[in-house]
Amino acid sequence: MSKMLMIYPDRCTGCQNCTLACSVFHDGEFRPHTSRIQVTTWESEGFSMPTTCQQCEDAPCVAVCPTGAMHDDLTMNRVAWDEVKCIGCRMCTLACPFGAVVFETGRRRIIKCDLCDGKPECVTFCPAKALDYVEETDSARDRKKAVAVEFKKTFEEVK
Amino acid sequence: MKHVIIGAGPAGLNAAATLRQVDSGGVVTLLSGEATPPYAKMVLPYLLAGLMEEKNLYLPVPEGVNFRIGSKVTRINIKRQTIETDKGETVEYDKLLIATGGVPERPDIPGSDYPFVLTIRDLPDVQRIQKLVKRKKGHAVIAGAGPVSMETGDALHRLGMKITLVVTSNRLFSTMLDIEAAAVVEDHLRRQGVDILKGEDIVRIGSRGKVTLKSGAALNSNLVIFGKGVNPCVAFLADSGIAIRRGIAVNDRMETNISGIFAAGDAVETKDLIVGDQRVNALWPAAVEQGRIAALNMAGIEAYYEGSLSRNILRVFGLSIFVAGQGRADGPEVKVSSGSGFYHKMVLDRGVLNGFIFIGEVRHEGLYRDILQRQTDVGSFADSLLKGTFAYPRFQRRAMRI
Amino acid sequence: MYGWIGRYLRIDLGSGTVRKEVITPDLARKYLGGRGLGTHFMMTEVDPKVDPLSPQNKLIFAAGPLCGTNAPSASHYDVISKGPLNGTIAASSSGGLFGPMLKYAGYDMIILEGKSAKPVYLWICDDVVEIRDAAEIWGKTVPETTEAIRSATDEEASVACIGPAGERLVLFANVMNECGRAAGRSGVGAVMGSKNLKAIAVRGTGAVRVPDPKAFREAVVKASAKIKANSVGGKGLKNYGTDVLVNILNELGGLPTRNFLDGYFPTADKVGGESLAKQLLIRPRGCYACIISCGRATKVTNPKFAGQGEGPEYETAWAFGPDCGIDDLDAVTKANYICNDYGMDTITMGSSVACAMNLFENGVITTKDTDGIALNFGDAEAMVELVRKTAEGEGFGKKLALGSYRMAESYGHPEYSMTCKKQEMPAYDPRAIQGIGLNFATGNRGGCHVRGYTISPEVLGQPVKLDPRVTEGKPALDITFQDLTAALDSSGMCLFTTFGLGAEDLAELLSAATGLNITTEEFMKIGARIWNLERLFNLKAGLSALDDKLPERLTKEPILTGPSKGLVNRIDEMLPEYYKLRGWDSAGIPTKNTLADLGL
Repeated sequence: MSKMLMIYPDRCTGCQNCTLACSVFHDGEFRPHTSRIQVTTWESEGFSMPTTCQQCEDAPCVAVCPTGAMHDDLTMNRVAWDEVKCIGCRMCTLACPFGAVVFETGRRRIIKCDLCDGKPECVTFCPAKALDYVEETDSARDRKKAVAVEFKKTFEEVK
Repeated sequence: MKHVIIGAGPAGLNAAATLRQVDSGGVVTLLSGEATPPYAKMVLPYLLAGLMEEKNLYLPVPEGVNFRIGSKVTRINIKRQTIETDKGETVEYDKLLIATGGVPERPDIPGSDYPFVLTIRDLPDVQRIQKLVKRKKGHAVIAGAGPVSMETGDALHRLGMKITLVVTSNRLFSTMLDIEAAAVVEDHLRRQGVDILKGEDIVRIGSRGKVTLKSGAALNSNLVIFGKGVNPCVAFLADSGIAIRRGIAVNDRMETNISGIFAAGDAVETKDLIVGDQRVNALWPAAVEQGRIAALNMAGIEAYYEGSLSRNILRVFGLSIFVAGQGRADGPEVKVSSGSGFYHKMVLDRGVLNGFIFIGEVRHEGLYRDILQRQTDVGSFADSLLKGTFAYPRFQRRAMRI
Repeated sequence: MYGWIGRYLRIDLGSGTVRKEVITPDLARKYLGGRGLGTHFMMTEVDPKVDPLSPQNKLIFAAGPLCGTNAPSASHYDVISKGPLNGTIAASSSGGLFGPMLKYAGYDMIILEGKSAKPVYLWICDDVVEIRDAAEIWGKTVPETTEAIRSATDEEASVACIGPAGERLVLFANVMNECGRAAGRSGVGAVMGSKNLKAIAVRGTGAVRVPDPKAFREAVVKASAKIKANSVGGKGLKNYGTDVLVNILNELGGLPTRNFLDGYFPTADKVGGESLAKQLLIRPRGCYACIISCGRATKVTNPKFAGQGEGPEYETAWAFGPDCGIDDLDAVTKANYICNDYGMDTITMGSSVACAMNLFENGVITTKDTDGIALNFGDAEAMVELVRKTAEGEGFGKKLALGSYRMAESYGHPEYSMTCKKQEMPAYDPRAIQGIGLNFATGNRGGCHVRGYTISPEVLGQPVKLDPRVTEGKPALDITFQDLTAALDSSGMCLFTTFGLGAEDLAELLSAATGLNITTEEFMKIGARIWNLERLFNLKAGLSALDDKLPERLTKEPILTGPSKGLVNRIDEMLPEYYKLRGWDSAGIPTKNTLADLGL
């Protein structure tokens, strides 16, 4: 059974332990700028929201990749990126409306969540259980949808 | 159902893959006029530059697709619902997709048929250039300053060749950039040692590589490349009855005037999302989407193409250039931020983006593209957007209020 | 260097010059960072007798070596200067994103010198450092300033700024970052205002490096587990915030009430953390890299005091609550919001209101002095109104803006001011808790609980329970806590990590981050060095042993009611031993041997 990353924005304290854990795991240094997960805080409302790659089915970044570097990895239930095949053309970064696929010019590479190959460090280091890595069951998928709907409601109610 | 697709570019390949997904009972035949497995033409400059290996070039043909190599279509018979190839084959179809792409423009001037004078469209072009490259020396003269010629110039520059750009208009990237943005790029290129001759054209090429320009000036070269744009590859449709304007005319289901015949990719004209007119927006991601929409309709599933957003992102000579929509326009409202090595410009109309130009580093390009495409009101955070680093969460913070 | 960046900014606001200078490894190891390093530069570059609000004073923002890593709750930076509230060396610590961001931009520290001719703010984005015009944001509140600067610079920027209070040189104005985090005490915000510096915005895209990320990860996991296993660090602070202390202190009879007239407040529970969690809390918040989450996102719907924001934490709840005889949590929280928005220290603000109420009830001041407002203990509306007046710089608010000491002194009765070295004491009654009294009296920036939080053992039983009523052993305890805290502040850690971590854990984290072998002994010695250096600064500034004292009320007037009824503080039993253990002579001056031993 494959797993998926769940985000509960309501539990998030905005501490950014996820971004720190992500950057040091992937790059061996604390550089949140290159974290695959990002957190935005609405200070006056005391609200924070982590965002990262949604590992879309039928992902636009996969569809436009001209070399197959960005591809579906069904075993890990993720959209994976193959550094060897990537030419740095940025079709994927241009395709993702969430900005979850980032091109780092300096190192000519794509930065995107790879779920730490099945043991996400952001989940390990989240002190608030705002991130969770769970079996992808129907109920988990429903919960994810419910969180998204709830989140949208939070915004729109007072809009 | 017999589906036939002409052309194994992004539109054709995606159409084939989509058809296999949604019409598993159908037969899908994919015809390529080239002699190799499918590959992405947009990667050719990267291949030339050595940024990828040839073994990684080829793309897999979707499983179950009947793929025919080296089959150039010469004629379509719409009454019999057949196509004919240069090998003398006849293939029957129920639904047909024309995804033949484009052919580069090559001017008819003395010397343009010498072996060291090339255009870049397919793999053999690149292989020929590779043989002609003089590493660490030599001089390449490139006519045109659009994306393909610039990427090719960048590749040759990486290989150590001296580059001269011969540009007809008064600036680089004349279809993408305004004068100010082009000046930033030009300045950057000159500092990289690239010669740029504006308002010039190549009028004659000698057998030993002497290039004569309109002004009478002459250059010696080892390699001449024409990158003066691409035209839809539609010559073979001349008497077919399929309506053609600048490109093949299609409706929003990607169907031509002939029922059952669809077209997608660089060969077609589609609605431009920002301007609203019909035009050929020869773009990789547009071709991908058009191929998918066409395939869905071929399989009897209604799907509509909302139109193309002209956009381009490239990195040449170490400089990132990102444009979309009507970035060149000078109104109704323009916001510019510029400085050493960067130029950011957004064109707005009542708080909604019409287009933008970003020279220099930019992040989260997809978000910018999406905001433009969806015509989101950005009035309250336009200045933040102009910085080129706007991120999705911030977008939510700005576009929505808790 | 690992941990440290090894580089700092020196900015002359007068001439507008920006220099990037190097921190040597030796200096870094000697003082770590933050408070220690900043004090070193103050000592070497500033005359301690300088007028705090003159251009000759300097203002230093310094992060620690652990800042920017994921060591648990390691987000702290210090603002170091000579404080205008009382003329001592000021080092005010704040969490949030600012410290780590500064390091990601490539700097451990910023030294600000001189005074700008007109209002400006700093924009630091990696290597780019700009002094920008602040004419349009001068006068704006903290949230407005933060928003405006982010729009003008970068949405991701961390903004440390002063509010209108700092601009008006309110002597306890603070520096706020991320809207709800404060370098709160001693008036460092007024120093910033005196330099015409409205804000520092910083965005960094660089890295903080550690020598062995895997080994560092292990150290972090181990330390985090200890904090999570601790009853205070792991659960109490997250569920109820620091305000959980209200009931604990009240049950001990150590909750100063009505300007320290008493030590027990019967209805304290109404402003305690449990009530806060029930009534106003939206959710817990954490500073950068925090695993404790003591922050409170709150919302008051009561139309009289409506608002939304951060807080209150314990000292704030106490200062606007029991210390003013008030048990209205909505009003307390509203006062907190005003302080956050205008950039004022809540402890000094609340205590000054309490002092004014005390003066009013005793007839020293009347409605003629207070713009017609009757100032009786327990009047929540009057309290909020005084806070507003101080924030806006109106009438009697201008008096309060001087802090309780100068205000009470101006009416001829400084003894009403519950201050040590002219800085207001926080929410622990030294009559009920002896050790904290000694700490307030000897505090290098005056009355302050975060210079040596002996409340841990004396009240909370952390790491072991000590009797708060005895004086025996307290000088040594105070010294240990003072030195530990000085080193901890300088390392970039949050004080609350000591609910779970001891000196050996902190030394281990530091070693893992820097690649140096910093032993527990060295860590504690660094703390002692910093403490003594601060002492030297204060002595040169003109302070003496005479200033190491508590207000007479605490040594002569016993607590009136509650469990600690009848108690007074017995500082005289502790101070001589404290000097001796410090290696200071009877005049409170460090001996030559002491200084030599510490490398000073």
